[in-house]
Amino acid sequence: MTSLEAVAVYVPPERVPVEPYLRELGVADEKVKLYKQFFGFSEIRREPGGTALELMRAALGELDLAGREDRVRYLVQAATILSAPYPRSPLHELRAEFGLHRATAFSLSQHACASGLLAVDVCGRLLAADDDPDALALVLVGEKTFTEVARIADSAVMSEGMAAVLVGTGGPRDRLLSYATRSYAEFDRAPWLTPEQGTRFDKVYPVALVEILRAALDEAGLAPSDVALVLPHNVNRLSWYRVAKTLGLPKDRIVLGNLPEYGHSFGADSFLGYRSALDLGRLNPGDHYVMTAVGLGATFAAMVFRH
Amino acid sequence: MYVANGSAGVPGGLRLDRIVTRSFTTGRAYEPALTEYFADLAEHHGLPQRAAHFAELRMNTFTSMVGRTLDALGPLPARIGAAVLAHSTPDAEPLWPSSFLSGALPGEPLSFAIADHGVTAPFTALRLAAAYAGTEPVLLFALDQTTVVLDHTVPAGTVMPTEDRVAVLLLEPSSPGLAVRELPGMTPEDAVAVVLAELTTSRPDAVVLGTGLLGHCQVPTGIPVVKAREGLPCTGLWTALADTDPQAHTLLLADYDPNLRSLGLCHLTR
Repeated sequence: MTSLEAVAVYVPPERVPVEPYLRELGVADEKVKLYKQFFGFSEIRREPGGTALELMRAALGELDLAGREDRVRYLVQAATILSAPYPRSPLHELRAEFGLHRATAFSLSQHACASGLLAVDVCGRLLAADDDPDALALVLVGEKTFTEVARIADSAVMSEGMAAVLVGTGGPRDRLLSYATRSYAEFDRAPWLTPEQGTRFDKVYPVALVEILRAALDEAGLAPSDVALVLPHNVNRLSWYRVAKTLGLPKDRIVLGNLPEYGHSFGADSFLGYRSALDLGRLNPGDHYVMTAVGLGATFAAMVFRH
Repeated sequence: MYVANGSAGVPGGLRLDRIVTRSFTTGRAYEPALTEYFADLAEHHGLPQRAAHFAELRMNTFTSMVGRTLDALGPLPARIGAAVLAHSTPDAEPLWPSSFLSGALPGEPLSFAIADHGVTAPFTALRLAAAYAGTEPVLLFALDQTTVVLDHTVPAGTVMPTEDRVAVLLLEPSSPGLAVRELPGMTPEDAVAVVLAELTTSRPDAVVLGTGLLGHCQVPTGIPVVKAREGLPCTGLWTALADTDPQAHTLLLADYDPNLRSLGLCHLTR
């Protein structure tokens, strides 16, 4: 059974207040107020200079890989956006630098911010096919905010952060119980949608998110009341309260504490939330929790784990 | 919608049902909205922005390429279990062909893409197609893209596509099916030795070799060699497969990426 062996994260130390940041990007005052007061964003993080390589290196540095390098068979970048010109890829440099000589390195894309959850499932399947219970896979997820479409989304202020997720198949904790994902082809030109498509997406979003959460919970044989925590993608705080109400889930079970401080760190949000939940003692052995993600394109995903 | 539990097992086999390849010439211009994105990407990596070059480009996106190939596949099964894309050069536009395919294919399949894996990306994609097939047929889309917006000097040995091309494989669940292996960290000498050992032990009816191995392997006498065309890093091998003698029932397909030191092997029975 697919399991999370370890999750390490790196969040750049530089804090950027969202009000002046958004104004500098040309966002109108009333929209700035919306992002701050209603969506809940206060600060984001940015690493001055550098590329995604430096963020990945920092996250890998937080992961205790010593002595396990040869067990890593896959090194996977779960990509949201094209962030390096071909044929540059940070993966192969990191593979050599961290001594992952037995790892097959590739990037996994097309689910955008939901690619991180896809990568966990993909790695679990590759490891199962190899049929080696000691083998591991390493997923890197997070992005640089180097261009406007990577800085602001309709309901989120994007932030820099990176997660390094070690996936196995025989671990005793954080075992994957279910994965559900669905892509909506009518939005396959996002973020360059027509105004009509944008309006339509706003209507589809809450319905699709509830649907994917229910599907993942059903597959895991759980009811919303069985969920200790939801580790969400950090968008529009109010929309999460509506989702919680629709699902019949107390809103304090949705871990939104990182949203004001970290912004929306692409596919890394749920893994940043996982680390925070551990640090705050909010996950106990046997607890069921759900990770969620929605990616441009428009891919909705939810994963249920048992801690 | 794709829904699964976390208990992945050893996947079943796949049998090649059909293969279609297609090349594209006339493309369209970029939409202005993308100019800023590519300019920022260039600046982020210290490359020239080349706005004039960008305005002159005509390209075929992956979405357009896969969309214009679906009809050529003929009638599809009632449901497709998964559609996996594999490419070395990135899409000309950073958009979502997998999302398009989820809507265009019967059964609303899971779809995603493998990249940054050179000529061996289709081998990974094949392994994943098998892992996600279950009891349903799957599609592999190998893609080559000529329009690389951030034009700059690439490392020696990097194969740049000379065509916008797609090779689509429809694969049916079957046992024993394809046997796909990837071997990372191989020196060129090791890669050749592995391929020759595979040929000696399996004695296929034919071998299809990619450009990373052509000229380096002394194939044992009696095994016909089908050569992949140059300039097609991800589609060349599979395009050559489509042209093989149908009387060749057992085939070995192999390619090697010298920059990534990655070897891909696929035994196929038809």
